[in-house]
Formats: sequence, C-alpha cells, structure tokens
Amino acid sequence: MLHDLLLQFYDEILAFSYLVLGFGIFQNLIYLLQLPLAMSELRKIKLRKKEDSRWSLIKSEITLPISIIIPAHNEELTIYETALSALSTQYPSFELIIVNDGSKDNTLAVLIEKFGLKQADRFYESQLPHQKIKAIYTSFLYPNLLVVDKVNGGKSDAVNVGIDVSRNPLFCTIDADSLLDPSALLASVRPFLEEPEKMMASGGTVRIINGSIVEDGAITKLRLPKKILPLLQVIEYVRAFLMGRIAWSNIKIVTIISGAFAIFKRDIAIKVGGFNVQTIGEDFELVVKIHRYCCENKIDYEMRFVPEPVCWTEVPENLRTLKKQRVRWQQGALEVLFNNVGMLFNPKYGRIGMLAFPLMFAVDVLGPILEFTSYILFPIFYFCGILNLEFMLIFFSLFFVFGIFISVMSLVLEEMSLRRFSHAKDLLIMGFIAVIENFGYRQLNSLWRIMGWWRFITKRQDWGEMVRVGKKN
Amino acid sequence: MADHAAANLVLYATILFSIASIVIFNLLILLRFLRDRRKKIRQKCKDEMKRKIFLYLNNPAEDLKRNLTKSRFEVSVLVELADELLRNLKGKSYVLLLEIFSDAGIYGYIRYKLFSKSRRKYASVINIASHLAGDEIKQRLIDLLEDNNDSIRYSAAESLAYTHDVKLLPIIIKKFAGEKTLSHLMIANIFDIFGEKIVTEMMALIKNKKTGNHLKKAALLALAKHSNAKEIAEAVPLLCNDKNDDLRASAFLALADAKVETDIKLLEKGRKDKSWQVRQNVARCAIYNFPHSTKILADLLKDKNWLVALQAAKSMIAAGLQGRELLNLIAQKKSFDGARARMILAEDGQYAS
Repeated sequence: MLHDLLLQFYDEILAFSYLVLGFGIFQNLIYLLQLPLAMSELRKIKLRKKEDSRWSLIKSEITLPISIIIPAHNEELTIYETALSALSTQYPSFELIIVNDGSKDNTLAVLIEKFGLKQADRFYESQLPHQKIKAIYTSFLYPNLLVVDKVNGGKSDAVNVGIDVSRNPLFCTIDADSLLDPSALLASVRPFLEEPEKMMASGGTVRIINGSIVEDGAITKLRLPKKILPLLQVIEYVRAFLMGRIAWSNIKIVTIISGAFAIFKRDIAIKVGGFNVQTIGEDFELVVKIHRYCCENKIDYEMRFVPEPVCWTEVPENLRTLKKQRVRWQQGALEVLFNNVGMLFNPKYGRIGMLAFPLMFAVDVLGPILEFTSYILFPIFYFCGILNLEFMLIFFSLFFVFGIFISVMSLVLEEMSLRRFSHAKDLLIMGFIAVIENFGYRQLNSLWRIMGWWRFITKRQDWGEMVRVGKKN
Repeated sequence: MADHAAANLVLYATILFSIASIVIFNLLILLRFLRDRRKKIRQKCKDEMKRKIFLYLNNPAEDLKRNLTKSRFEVSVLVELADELLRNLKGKSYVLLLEIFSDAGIYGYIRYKLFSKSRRKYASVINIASHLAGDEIKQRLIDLLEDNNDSIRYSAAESLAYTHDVKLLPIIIKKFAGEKTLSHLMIANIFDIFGEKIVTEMMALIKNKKTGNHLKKAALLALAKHSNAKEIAEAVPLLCNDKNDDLRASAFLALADAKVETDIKLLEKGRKDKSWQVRQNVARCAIYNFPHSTKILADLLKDKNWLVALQAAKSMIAAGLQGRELLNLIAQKKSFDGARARMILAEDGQYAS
C-alpha cells in the first residue's frame, strides 16, 4: 500500500533523491577544496614558530595592550582556575576583566576570597547597551585584575559590560570554562601587529580539556578524554578548526570566530553596537556585523584565523547537555544567517556575500534538512522498491564513507602541523574514533540540527545550562 | 535512476580515498613513534654532552676534545646543541668552545650540509652557521636570502645578523626592501639582533623618503629599543607626519616612551588627527611639553573617544602638581569634560588610598 502511495509521487521522490545526492557531492567537494587550502595555510606555522622564539622586541611598549574579558554565570567550580590561567598568560600589557553576570552560586564570593578583592571606583563611559553594573572590584594582589558584578543579562550582555569598562584598543573574549595556553595571546595578537589598520578580529584554535590534568590554571598533563562522547568531539573540533576555519581564513572569508577565544578591535566592536543580546550565536553575529559594516563603509579590512593559539575548553560529557549545546548552536547560526539574508549573493559584500554566505546557507541551512530527511526516507524508498541498490550505495558512499576520509585527513593535518596529541598511542585512538564517528554520531548531530531548526522556527530563547565537572580531573 | 557503473565508481572512489587517508595517517603514527623514540635518544645524548662540556670546561680542552664526539650521530647532536650553547657564551669561553667544536668535527659537517642542494639539509644548519667565520659561509647565507622558502630566508638573515657584521646590513636591507612575505615584525627582529651598532642605519632608513612602510616600521621598532632620547628626537618626528596611521601612532608612542620633548606644532597637528590612537599617543607625549601643552591636553580631554580623554587626564596627573591643578580646575566646570575630570580624579584618589 505504501509502495502504491509512493509510486504516485515517483517523480517528486526522484527529484528529491537527486537533490540530496547533488548536495552530498557539493558538500564533499567543499571539504576537498578546504584540504589544500588548510594545508597551505598550516605550512606557514614553521616560520611563525621560529619567529616566536625571538619575541623580545615585540614584548615591548609597542605591543598593543589588550583586555581579556571573561563573562561568568554560575561558574564557581571553574572560575578560579580560568582566572589564574588568564593572569599567567605571557603578554606584556593586559588587564583581566571578569564579569559576574548575576550568578546565583558563589562565583563572586570565590573571586573575592581568592584574589582579595576590594570595591573600587572605575571611570567608564557607557557606549553599549547592557544591564546595570552593581559594583566593580579590584585586587591588590593582582593590579591588572578587575571584577565587575552586574545584574544578569546573558553572555552577550556581560561581554558588552567588559568592553565598556575596558581601556585597551583590543579585547579578547574567553569562556569561563576555558584555559589559555600561556603563549596563545601573544600569537593571536600577531595579525593586529602585522596589519594594525586592517585587522578587525582574529580567532584561535579551541581544543578539548576533558581528561587532562589541570593545576593552578595550567595544564600539567595533556591527556585524551576517557569517555567516548568528548573523544568524538575532539575529532569534531580538530576538523572544524584545523580544516574549515583555516581554509576559509586562507581565502579571507572568515565568518565564524569562536567566542570561546576571540580577539576584536574595541572601536569596531563599539561602532557595530557590540554583542547582540537578543541573539544566541552572538560571536558569529558580531563577526557578520563587522563584515557588513566594513563592506557598507568601504573600509579595507581583514579578519584572520590563527591556527596555533590554543584555548582549552571543557565539553559536555553527556548526551543531554551536548544535545542542548548543539541545538543552541544551530538555532544561533540560523538566526544570524536569516537576520543577514540580504548579504546573500549581494556583490556589495564581496567574498562574504558571494562566497561565504552561499556556502553557509547550503551547509548550515539546507544541509541538515536534506541530510536528516534522507536518513529516514531513503531506506523506506529502498525497501518499497522506489530506489535501487546502486542509488543507496552512492548515498552511503557520500554520507558515510567519505566522512571517514575527511575526519582522518583533519587528523593528518593536525599531526603534520601542530602535533598537539602527546603520544603515538593517542593518535591511534583518534584514528579509530575518526572512523566510528561517521556511523551514529554524525547522524545524531543531524537530528540535533533539525531540532535547532525547530527552535528557530518557534523562536524559543531559553538558555541551556552547561553541567560543569570542574577542570581538576 | 542511478546506474550500476556510476554507483560502483562513487563507492570505490570514496572507499579508496578513505583507505588512502587511513594509510597516510598510520604512516604518520609510525613516523611519530619513531620520531619520539629518536627524540628521546637524542635528548639523552644531548644531556650527556652538556654534562661533559660543563665538566671539562675548566679542565684542559684536550680532554674534552678527546671525549666529546665519537660517531657521526654524536656530531649531528652536537650541531643541535652548539647553537644553543654558543648563543649564551661570550669572550674566552665562547672561543674555547668554538675550538672544541671545531676539533670535534662539526665544522665539516655544517659546511657539508650548508652547501648541500637539499633544502632539508641546509635548513638544519643555517642557525649554527653564523658561528663559522669566513666569507664563503657568509656568501652562502647571503645567497639563501633569495631562497623561495620564507622560513629559510628569515633564518639566513637571522644568522647573518648574529655575525654582528654591520657591513652585511645594507645587503639585508636591500633584500627586505622587496620582501613580500616576512612581516615588519620579523624584519625588526633581525635589526634587533644587530643591537646598538645599527642605530645610525636605522635613522637613515627612517629619514629616507623612499623607504617602504614595512621597513620604516621595522626600523622604528629597532630604534625605539636601542637608541637614546636624542637620536629618537632627531629621527622619529619625521614619521609623525607620515600618511600611514600606524606609523604616526607608533612614532608618537616612541617619542613618549623616550620621554622626548616634541615640537608643539607636531602635537597641535596630532591632536586633530583622524586616528584615535595617534591622538592618544599625542596625549602621552604632551606630558613632556607641559605646561606648553596645556591647551592640547585640555582639548583632548573633550575627545569623542574616551580612551583619548582618559589618557589626557592621566597625562595631566603625571605632569605633576601643575597638571593636577589643571585637572582640578576643569573638574569644577559643569561641562562634559568637567564631569570626565571629576570621575578620573575620584578614581585616582581611590587608587591612591
């Protein structure tokens, strides 16, 4: 009966099936293009490493001072380690601004106690919209530490406060559950020193800390996570940062700079109105706003992704939290893309309008729908005799087997450039994970992205809370 | 509907790609395993050599010469170690160690590698080559300034700089004038290695109108680090009128860092600059012209960018009693800048307490 019903829509089913296959080929071609682009960009790392050994000159007054902004909401477990890690960063001139966004736990109390904070006056001129600041604290132990206590308003609101209070030409945002490599800041500021007028933002690689040992804000032993879910995310992060973002940075179409570790020019962030408190994908949104502003005002500008700087972050260890995170990410991406749909195929926005936006619409907007529906419908069509075995083989090749190639090649890139995995044994484990993630985990991600679509359509705005395990594993 | 041949083609192609990637990855794992093992062995050998060198350094050199290297492997390890050791030594110890290394046979090894056609081979010894005096070596390093690989070009320039032979500077500058890949920061690093010896050349570079922006920036960085206030006052003001925003801002900053009294006309012009960073650095410079710069600082306190205003207020406070009095006077006004002055004074009082 189902077979007869489906036969009535044979032409439509066939068109849809070919559309899915076409999309699969298109997506894989994009990955194939990203590989050589990422490789050529990563080749420059050796030179940078050499240069880093001779930074004595640049570590002078001429280095641009920077404000590190850490928004914190209910982060009592991690905030002390994060603050210590940020304070011990190797950078000649920086201030650390922790913004306590109306935490209900002991985040502020932990900071007051550990850093001997005292309430102080701090002059600032409010240039961005945000909730009221309750108090500003300074530390006699760490003169470059500033803690702002404010009414709860969300992450974007907290970062806006940090930007307002900051007094440096650059600011860096770090998540409260993240740790910075001591040299990360110095390396990621380099684009601003090389192109002081053009550079608007830079981002660095974010890696996963689960499983490693952290003491006093520093990683003392780098280990792979012990659980399967964080391991799967390790592959995802390597693929996203070392392939996708580096490749797009190479052809100057950076559209995503992770808020977990990003550096922005303060004045451009203020000009575009700072972080949008109404959006979930606030980091993505800010980057798009900067692109939009610069293109509309014909400003010669650049944004760059720097492969080496590493910010270590804790990722969800259970499916429930991971689902919430991924659904939120998808919803955020859709909000930003549809809010800026006017940029799509608009030559006024240069490469961003003509290349980056169409690619993102194809992969992030259409992609999840086509992929997920095909996972459900194609087996039904096959068992009803509408699609033949050959068709299913092509589908399986494009959506399952080729994924292995992409994941393994991103590991190859990692090993050829950064070598952040400590042992050959770790590489072996990651190789295995790169194969199995294509069977189950990838499909689960598609489902979560569909759920993100649903939330976007129903305009739900509640925030997912991340369950912290603390970094001291 | 998809036909059989097409399906097979796609399936086999993707499987082939995947298998190829897995094979490459496994080869890399094997390489990593071997590299880690070799690294351990080399480190062990290095530690042993370091121990021997420090143990024998106060004894007759002959003993060390006899004991240091016995195999080609040990010579290659010594080459790695030598650069690190020689960089940190001066005077007699440096000469003695050079002699010992020479007897240990590393010169022949370095020469062989440096003149090899294989990039991998000469890349491994470029840094240590600076310790080998001799025109032949220097010429080879100069030739390598033309290499296609930017890392090699940088290393060759660095190695030439470590010879501290100022005669080589014009060659390096000429090469860097057309440099497209290496940033001004890297070029500044090279200038920095030469140290105080090249202040005159840096000043000449800044004064020369034909010098490109990246070379000017590099020269300014090196000059700011190695020259005295008089030299900065002579050369840097020329850059305060440059077309490049960053150069102007850096020039004013260098003047402020050197605590140089800047021409008031330059400050007047800089106060109206379109770049807020230039204006901020003008406020920094104005401390050293106070009280002649009173009006400039008072105007900058009204700047639309409050970071500039903040710097102006800080400069007034840093200028001493007179500056603080000026800020107090402005604070009594009911204007926008008066409010700013009051807030900054309150904050300053808080910190002072």
